[in-house]
Amino acid sequence: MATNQPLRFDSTREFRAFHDFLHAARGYRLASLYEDAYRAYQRAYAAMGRTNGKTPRTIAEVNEVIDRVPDVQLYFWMMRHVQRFKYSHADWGILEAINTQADRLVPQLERLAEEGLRSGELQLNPAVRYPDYFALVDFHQHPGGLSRRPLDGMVYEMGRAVRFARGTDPRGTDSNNLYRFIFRYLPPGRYHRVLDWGTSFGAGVRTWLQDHPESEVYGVDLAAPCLKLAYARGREAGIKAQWSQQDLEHLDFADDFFDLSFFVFMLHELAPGHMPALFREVHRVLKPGGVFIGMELVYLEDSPFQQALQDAEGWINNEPFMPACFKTDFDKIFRQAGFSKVEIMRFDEMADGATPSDPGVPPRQTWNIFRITK
Amino acid sequence: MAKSKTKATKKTKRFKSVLTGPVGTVEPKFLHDLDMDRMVGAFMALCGEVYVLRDRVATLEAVLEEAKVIGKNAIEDFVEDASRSKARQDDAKRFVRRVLRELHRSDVPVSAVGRKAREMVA
Repeated sequence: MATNQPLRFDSTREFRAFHDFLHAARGYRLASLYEDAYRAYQRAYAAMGRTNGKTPRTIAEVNEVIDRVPDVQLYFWMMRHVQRFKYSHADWGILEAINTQADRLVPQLERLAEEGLRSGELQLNPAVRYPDYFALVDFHQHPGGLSRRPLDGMVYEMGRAVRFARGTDPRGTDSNNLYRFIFRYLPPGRYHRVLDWGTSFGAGVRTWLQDHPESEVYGVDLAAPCLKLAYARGREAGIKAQWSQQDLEHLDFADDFFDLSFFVFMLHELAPGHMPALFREVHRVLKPGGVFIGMELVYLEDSPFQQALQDAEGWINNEPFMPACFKTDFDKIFRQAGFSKVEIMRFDEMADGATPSDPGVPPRQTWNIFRITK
Repeated sequence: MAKSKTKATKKTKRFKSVLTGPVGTVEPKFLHDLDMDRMVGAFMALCGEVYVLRDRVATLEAVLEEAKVIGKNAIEDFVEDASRSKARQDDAKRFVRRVLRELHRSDVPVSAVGRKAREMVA
């Protein structure tokens, strides 16, 4: 018998205060420190006596300069270690804090999952084979990744919550507007069958169903702990969806099944060598005219400094496929997968948080919308 | 053979702070050029923060005394029971662990990118 109590990590005041502090520290890195780092980089380059009115043209040339710039070193240190504090700090790191409540949370989550399995809304496949690019990477410094511990889904959810907003909304609803921003780019039409491609704990599915309750929505992911949580959160929200544990490269849906598939921040999690097969598979399950849409970080053109720091984030924050993702020719790879129309355009809805106060400093991050039609 | 090994070593040590690949089995070091004047500046700023907190707590005690919410010297005269004493000592241990662990943390990253995945990045 599943409980009707929400599945909730009871955070302490100290935990919340600590994460408010980390959130502020991260904000400082992304704003003031980033701008100072850029100005220090410019001064360092000028001091090297090589300017001749030019600035570095490549990431390699930028790296030669920033390697010795203290502001950039501090930027890198904070990128690595504030995130480590977030997940792994003693007592207040998300992993340790949530796992102190495992005696209560794991049985509750498992009871809910059993209910989901019985109802058929949740399908787990213990025999699923994790691809190496998923199994061997502790993405964004989440120790052990998303699939090894029963509460990894809750840890990830909390990680998202403390990133997207001040405070610690344990339901992780803070990032839902991101999905709505993406959905604005959908061509007008009726999207009956919808696939959340890499659903994680199901925030995209819930957002879609809140706005389109008539749709039949499927959330697919490799990580069972995330899918169990997705079912639990869907139940709390009063929505019904189909959650299943599958490798996106080998989906069990029929050909031409979906009208729409969407994703958020997924492309940089994929090993480049797997992309062609992954995109062929999503092409297979979409109906003719079906849409594959999502957003992803991209390089700012003509700004090797921003590009160097974006690459650095990939290496430092355990997002090892991010630098390759920035360099991928997606137009080509989607067309090779069989898609007839590939539209890639700037996605400025998230720019507020990344626009420097100094107009002379390049935006810290830039994003594109990928609207791909079968 | 020796020559190519030297070349490879030089290549991997090209940068001291910038990474050009995933973090492997050793935690990278970034802060090679942060100068001590600035470190002491941050330390003094933290001392200031702590003093402001001390002042705030002392003022709060005084206000509570004035309002007769607590008696004079109530804090100093307070005798904790065994349970409270244990909780406070445990808290002190956790406090020390949170701070001092940073000074001798392992160089092995707490989160990892496995070797095979490190070879899949391009």
